[in-house]
Amino acid sequence: MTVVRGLISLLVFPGALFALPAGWFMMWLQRKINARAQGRIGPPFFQPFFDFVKLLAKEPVVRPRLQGFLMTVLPLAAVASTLGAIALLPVFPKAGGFSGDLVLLVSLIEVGPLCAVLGGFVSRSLYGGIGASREAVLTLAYNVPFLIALFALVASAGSFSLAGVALAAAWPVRVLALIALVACIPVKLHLNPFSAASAEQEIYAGSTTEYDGPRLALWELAHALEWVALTGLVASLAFPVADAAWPVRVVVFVAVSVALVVVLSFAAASTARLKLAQTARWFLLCGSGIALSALVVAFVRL
Amino acid sequence: MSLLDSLVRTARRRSPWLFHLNAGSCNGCDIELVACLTPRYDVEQLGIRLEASPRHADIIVVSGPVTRTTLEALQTVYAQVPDPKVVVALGSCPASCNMFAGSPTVVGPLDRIIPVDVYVPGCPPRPDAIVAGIADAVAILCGDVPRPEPTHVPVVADACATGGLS
Amino acid sequence: MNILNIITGNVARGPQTVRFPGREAPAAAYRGSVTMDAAKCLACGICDYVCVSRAIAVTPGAASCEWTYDPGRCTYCGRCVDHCPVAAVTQAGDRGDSYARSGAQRATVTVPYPACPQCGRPAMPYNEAVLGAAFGDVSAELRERIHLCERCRRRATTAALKANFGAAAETGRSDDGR
Ligand code: SF4
Ligand code: SF4
Ligand code: SF4
Repeated sequence: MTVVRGLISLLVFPGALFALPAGWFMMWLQRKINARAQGRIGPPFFQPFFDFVKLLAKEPVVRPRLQGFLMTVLPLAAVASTLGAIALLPVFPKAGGFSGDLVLLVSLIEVGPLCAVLGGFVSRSLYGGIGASREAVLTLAYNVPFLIALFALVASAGSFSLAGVALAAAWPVRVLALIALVACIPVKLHLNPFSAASAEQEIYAGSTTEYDGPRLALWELAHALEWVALTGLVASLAFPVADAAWPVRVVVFVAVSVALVVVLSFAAASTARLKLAQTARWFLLCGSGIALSALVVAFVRL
Repeated sequence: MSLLDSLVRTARRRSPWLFHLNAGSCNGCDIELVACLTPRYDVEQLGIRLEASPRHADIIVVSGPVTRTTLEALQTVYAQVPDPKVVVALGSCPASCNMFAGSPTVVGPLDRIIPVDVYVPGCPPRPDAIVAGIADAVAILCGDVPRPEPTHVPVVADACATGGLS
Repeated sequence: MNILNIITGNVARGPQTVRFPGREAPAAAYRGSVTMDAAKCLACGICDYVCVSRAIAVTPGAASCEWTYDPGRCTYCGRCVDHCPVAAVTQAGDRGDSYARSGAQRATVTVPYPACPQCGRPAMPYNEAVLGAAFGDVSAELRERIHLCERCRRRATTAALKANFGAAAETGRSDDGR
């Protein structure tokens, strides 16, 4: 039974069958909102899907064997791990999950950026290298508030399982922790103001500079899935609906995720890119400050 | 035509990504190309994206008469763009070297160096002329329109090695 | 927070984009590609001379003149329009279409020379206004002669010279003067 349930959440909902179109939709929505905020029409609805198909159909550039292998495996690993993270999301907090799946989720979410860093370095491009090092610095920086916030949630709920956290974390802690978590999302998704890792005016395409055709398509896929995973994480923690019928829970999950996409997109459209050091400082001071206050509240209430 | 085939063609038609190379242009054409991204013309409505890396591109947009210093970059970038690819020449410079013709620092016109598929007229071309030219290039890219016969005579192929044209 | 005003304004106003393939006509002063009216042209070659990028080539022949123009070489500067003495050159008010081959839009206009009113052979076209611009007032005699072919004009000039020479000899000169 649990195996079937696991497979369903990996392949159907909130996994591949749901997450792929949802990720493409979120990417489209972000571009569309960005365009509208600038007074433009923006891309057509199926744009990310067509981008993906077109990239898949391009002829791959011939590379040395090991490099070509690594440049295929790393984005694949990012796709797979992000899909795994999506499958763990506590959309139905009472149904699945196991103790400690929070730790697994966090590590799966971290695999994506790690692959991007490695992928940038193995591409042996100067810009890929710079992009990768920026990505590494930013990953270190935002993980401080990210992990503290999650730890505050765990401390407040007294459980290391996602379902436990979703159901039991105290609301003051939860609000503060979620603010810190939401602030971390733009870094992972390369959105303004924390998009120093993919600053196309400075370092071209960052760590994906050397990736072409199908290999780039995999990165795009991983990116689309990251949208679902991160907004989904916040959505499932912010509005845990334990007792409603499953369609209600699905609708709430999707609606909150999409609302989050809208908020993030407008935030990205209205801000400029911070420098690398500024971003790192922001996360180490402000971001961590919010997360630490969540932690303090959690311990005070214990 | 199979379903997959037509899907790929549609995808190519709806998602052309550009790489812009300045081969010694006066910057007029470059500014007009960037003007295509502005709210008035917004090429994103056609799914077009200006990409930062030639590895991501489908269409290479070249402006300028191809100077000695940009020759090698041009050849490298052309080789770096994965197939299928289309070359769009922006303005009079790549078509004929314009008023730079005969300069000792100019090795163009462009079709001496790489095959060109679409020429956009103007100096600089209007943004809507550029968008229309890119739309023509997209038709070639997805196979709706046959690629023009290459007139490309690779006279300059070894110019990098020998240090320039005689 | 000015940016928020801009964004809310943009969202409220809706997109400002012109949907492709719709387009706006360019401004009235737009300088497009060059066309030439063979009926007005004098085959003087001034447009060729002033063209910075040698987009125009004027090649005079025996009975006609080839006027060649390549938009792919043109800088759209308008110098030819400014300098053509008879306003035979005009610039289109709109952009051209893209093309597939360099030089594909090159166009040649043949300017036929009109027949000489005296001998019927082709004569270089000429224009009173130009002559006036060059020499000021144009006398009635000159006005007659500008349409002659070079040979007939030379003949007419020689004849006039001879006539004047004869007249001068009769009135002024004496044979003793040597
Ligand atoms: S075509 Fe004209 S505007 Fe474009 S680069 Fe050449 S000189 Fe500049
Ligand atoms: S507009 Fe300028 S470049 Fe074009 S033909 Fe006339 S003089 Fe030459
Ligand atoms: S300047 Fe005018 S009249 Fe003279 S050759 Fe050119 S088009 Fe003809």
